[in-house]
Amino acid sequence: MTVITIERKVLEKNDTIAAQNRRRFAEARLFVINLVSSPGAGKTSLLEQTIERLRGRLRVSVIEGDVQTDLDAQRVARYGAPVVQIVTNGGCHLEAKLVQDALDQLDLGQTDLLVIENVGNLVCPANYDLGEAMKVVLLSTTEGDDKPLKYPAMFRNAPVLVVNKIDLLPYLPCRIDALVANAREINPGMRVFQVSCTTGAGLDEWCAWLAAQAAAARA
Amino acid sequence: MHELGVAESIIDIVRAHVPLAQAPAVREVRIRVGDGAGVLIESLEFCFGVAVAGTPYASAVLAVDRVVGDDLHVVHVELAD
Repeated sequence: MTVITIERKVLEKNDTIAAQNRRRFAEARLFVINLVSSPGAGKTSLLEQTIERLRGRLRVSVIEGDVQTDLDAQRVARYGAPVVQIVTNGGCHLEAKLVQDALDQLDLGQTDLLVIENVGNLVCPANYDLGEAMKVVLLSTTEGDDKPLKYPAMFRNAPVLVVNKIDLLPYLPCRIDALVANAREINPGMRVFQVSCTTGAGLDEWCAWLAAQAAAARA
Repeated sequence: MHELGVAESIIDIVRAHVPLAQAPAVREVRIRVGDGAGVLIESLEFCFGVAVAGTPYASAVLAVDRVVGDDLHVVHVELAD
């Protein structure tokens, strides 16, 4: 029996393209986030509110990832941000190659912040580097305060958590302290924003943080 | 969900390390999979079988070392002499 030692990462092809994306972002001095969540947590709503609040301060471009339709790209386009829709036709996550191809349709020289809105899925996107500066995980109060414990890979891989729909807390069994504690049990250094895309609560702090990150990338 | 893509990536890596003439001799492809890698091992084993069927690598069987963490690596291939 002959053994040929290999010891290569299975996803090395994706990682190689992700590194190319990362270099391209660095050359354009962009801040890039990979926005992940389960379906319906409010990624597109957060994007709408973010684009609106940062108007005149930060130029935002968007890459949308969905299994079907360009409904999210249409929503974002109404707020005036350049947007490219990736339709995966069943793929449960975005990969670096899809993002690389989408970049050709954007003017990165006219962008300060690029948001990649991933396919709604708390599992698979955790394992696919797209070249982003960081993943931002969005969790809504209606999903329950135990979700960080049930989806540890995603929460471990994201330095930032945005909790959405905090206006619904009075009507839900979700305990916000337990949710944040669970998130920090998985990822002790996690930065947490608590927002409501409906009432506007917490969004100024979130946008101020984004603007600071973009400024740091530009420096 | 994406285990077929993962299986095809494994075979691509094997193809890069084993000359085509030796492909029928491949008996085992050993991989290391962490519990945090986001891969369903049973599904991956099934998809690997589907992906090699009818190819020069049809005799290859997937062997999985389960570990803690995020590893998803091709460890080695074993060829019959």
